[in-house]
Amino acid sequence: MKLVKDNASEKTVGLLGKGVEVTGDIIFPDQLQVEGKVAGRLISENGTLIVGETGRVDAHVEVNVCVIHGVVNGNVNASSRVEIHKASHVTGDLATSVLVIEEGAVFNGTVGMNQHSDISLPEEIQPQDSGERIKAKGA
Amino acid sequence: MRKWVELSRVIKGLVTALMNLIKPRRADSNTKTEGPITLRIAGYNLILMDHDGGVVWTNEWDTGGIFDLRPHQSMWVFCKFTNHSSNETEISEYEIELVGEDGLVVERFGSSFGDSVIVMPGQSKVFSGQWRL
Repeated sequence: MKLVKDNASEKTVGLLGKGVEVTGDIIFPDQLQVEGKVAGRLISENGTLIVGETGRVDAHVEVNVCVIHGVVNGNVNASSRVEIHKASHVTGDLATSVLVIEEGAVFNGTVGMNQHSDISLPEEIQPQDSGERIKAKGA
Repeated sequence: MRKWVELSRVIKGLVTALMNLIKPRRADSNTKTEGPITLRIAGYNLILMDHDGGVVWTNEWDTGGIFDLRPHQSMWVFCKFTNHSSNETEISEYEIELVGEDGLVVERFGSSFGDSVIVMPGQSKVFSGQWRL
């Protein structure tokens, strides 16, 4: 895995290249681009995960922003945003506040509101539109 | 005869000048193609209103960085409201505003309820909307 410090933004950008396979937990601070394979967990409280066209993630993902161009199998919890671009395949449940799906993407799973975007209350009602099922297969 | 030659030169010059005026316009009309419309989005707002249209509650969020919403993309926005007051809140309609990088609202959409929704103290409700270019 390659780590590069972006001098302009002072952010650490990680690249997991094509042909590289990692099994286990990856915790990153700012940005990680996956072009290889990852199995396990990907965690970043404020970071952005980019799954490239050649990337395959069989993992539980907990990030701020998740941008998908490749294959993701697993649940994704992104506090700010999830983008599923064309030619990508996503199987799993999403918890986020903003979801962008492009025509041609395949998504099988449910979408729910990210729960840690607000304080959770003991008597919290279940939102009617939480768990909305959206399918975008070759739309 | 000389007059005719001069006159023909003048006419030729005028025609050439006219052609030069027209040519660039033709070139412009060929090269000017409208690019894909994209929305640069930096955040979004939720505005809750009662049956009189009065604003009950508003909040704003960022989208985790600026991104472009392009043609053939659909965007779902989920906004959560929690009633932290001690009174029940009546909501008849809501609007979700998409905010650009300059802080200005670039799109607005929402929905209204036939019967008002009552959110009891301590309870939450998610308001969602979809936008497509």
